[in-house]
Amino acid sequence: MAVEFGEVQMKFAELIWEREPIGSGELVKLCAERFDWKKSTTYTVLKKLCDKGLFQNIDGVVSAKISKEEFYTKKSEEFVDEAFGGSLPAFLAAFTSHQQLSRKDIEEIRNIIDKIQ
Amino acid sequence: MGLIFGKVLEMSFASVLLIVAVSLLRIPLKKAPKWFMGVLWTIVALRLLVPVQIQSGIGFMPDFGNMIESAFGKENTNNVATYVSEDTLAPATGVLEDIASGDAAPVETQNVAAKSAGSFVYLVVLWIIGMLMAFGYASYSYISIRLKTRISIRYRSSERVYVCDEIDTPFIFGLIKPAIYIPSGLDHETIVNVLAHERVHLKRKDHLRKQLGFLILTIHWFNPFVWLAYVLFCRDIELACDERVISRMSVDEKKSYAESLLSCSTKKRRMMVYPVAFGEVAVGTRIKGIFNYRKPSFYLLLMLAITTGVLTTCSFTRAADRVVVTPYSVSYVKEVEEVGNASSSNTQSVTIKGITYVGEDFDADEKKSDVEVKVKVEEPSQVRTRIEDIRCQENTVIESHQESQSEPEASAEVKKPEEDRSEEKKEETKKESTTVDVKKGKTHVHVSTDDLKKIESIAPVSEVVSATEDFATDVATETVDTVVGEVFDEGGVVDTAFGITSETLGLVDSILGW
Repeated sequence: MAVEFGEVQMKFAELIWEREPIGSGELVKLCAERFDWKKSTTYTVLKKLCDKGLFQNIDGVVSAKISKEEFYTKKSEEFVDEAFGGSLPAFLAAFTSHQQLSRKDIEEIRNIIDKIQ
Repeated sequence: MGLIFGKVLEMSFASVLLIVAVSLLRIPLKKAPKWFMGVLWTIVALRLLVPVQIQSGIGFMPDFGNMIESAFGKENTNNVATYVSEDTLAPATGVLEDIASGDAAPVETQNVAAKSAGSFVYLVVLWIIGMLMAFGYASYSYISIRLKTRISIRYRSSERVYVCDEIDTPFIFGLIKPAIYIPSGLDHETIVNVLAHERVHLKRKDHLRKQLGFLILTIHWFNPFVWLAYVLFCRDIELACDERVISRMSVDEKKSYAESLLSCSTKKRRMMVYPVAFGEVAVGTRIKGIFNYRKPSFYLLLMLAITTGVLTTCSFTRAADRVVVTPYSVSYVKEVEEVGNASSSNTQSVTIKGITYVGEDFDADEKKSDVEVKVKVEEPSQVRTRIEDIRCQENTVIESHQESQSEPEASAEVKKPEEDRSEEKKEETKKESTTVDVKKGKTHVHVSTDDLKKIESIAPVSEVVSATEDFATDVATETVDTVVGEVFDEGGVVDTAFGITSETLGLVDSILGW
């Protein structure tokens, strides 16, 4: 995917994921309320996200092409690829070097590993 | 428009020295508080916007207005020519000739003037095109940023702070209702520093200052020194803003601030017109500045105040005209008028106590009224107009002929009172009448004794350049009836001649302490 998403676009995407499928007119109203956006602004951003393959606007109804979970999964994969050369242990090491893992965190990670095995 | 352009040129020329001075001052003032540079740039801005030059003895700037005028011909011919060239429907040459004859000026000189005026018009058009281009660029820049910043979300609940995806450096946008825009993806610490910086910009009204700076640049786009000034001014704005932000910061906070500056400095250097950005200019210098900050001492501030005063006075004044007044006898002036140009073949000169007295002997039979005295008088133009004022009050005749291109105001024929003056004229020429005779910038004025006293009071005669030896005795014995004086401007712009009587010369004499 390797497409950059800014904070503004992400906020907008979150809003759609929360409410989809949503009529584009309703989306415009919602954005005017929350972000103080004009109709054209909303459509501009929506078009950008559609072009990036996140959503689709068919007959005035906006729906997700990629779910929120799928999106973040891809995002995190990309991140680990980029920052740690795809090495999960390197990522974990980096993550834990600054932040203490709680007992609950360790338990969950162990469960994940068990599942895979 | 030509008139405005003339003024702009005048201001542009007058500002060059000031800009150079201020730019050089930046070097020794490196450690001085940065807000002071703002004061200096304000003087520059005023110099570039206010078309006033006060004449004064302490000023050293030349009179750029006159220089420009003489380079492009007189202002009035310019206007005429501009009018002609703009009026495309009328056959240009015909109109030109009409105007020329109406002006009672020789057509040849008018044509020469029209030629230089033509090149002036060309420059004016070029100037306007440049301004339009700068304006167009600003509009383009405004619209593109406006489009980008529309897609933004309010940062938390902060007033007028917006996060925007499309920008890569924080800035302030908007003149009346300015808002801070920050690029998305900044960490919390950076945002805190950025907001501290931008809020100081808003407090200092830097967004307005920068806009005004760009407006001045638009007007003076042809002047490379103004470009230099604008670039340095933008830097100094940032430095001054940083200075204020960090003045109350601890070392750790300063470190964090410097890091934020670095992280916001974009690799691409674009000339942004509208935004007042955070990490836009001279990040290296600014980071150094952050750790060099010191509270200014009293003496430094005093020194800065003096610098400001000196720069302001010098840039807004120009050197007073140095003028030489030469009184001649009436007969001499008549002779000059007849011959056209006086030859100084019969000049006699005597030097007494370091002062050279030059006398001109036209006729041995004539009385010893053929004398020449040169005295210095300040401000020829003022003298002339004031002389005319006096004459009008006195209900005497001011008669003037305009020949070739000369001061337009002198060409007006003023008659007071409205009487039949044809018979009186000859007598009055000798005794009381005033003749403003404009000849290629030279004005001869014959005035009465009383009037000359008044002229004396408005235009102090400061120095005697020359006179005949006989002259002094003439004055003493009152053998001189009437003497006509001539004022020479060193620049040769306005010359005035007075007709003065022996009585007045006595006055001159006493003032000068002969």
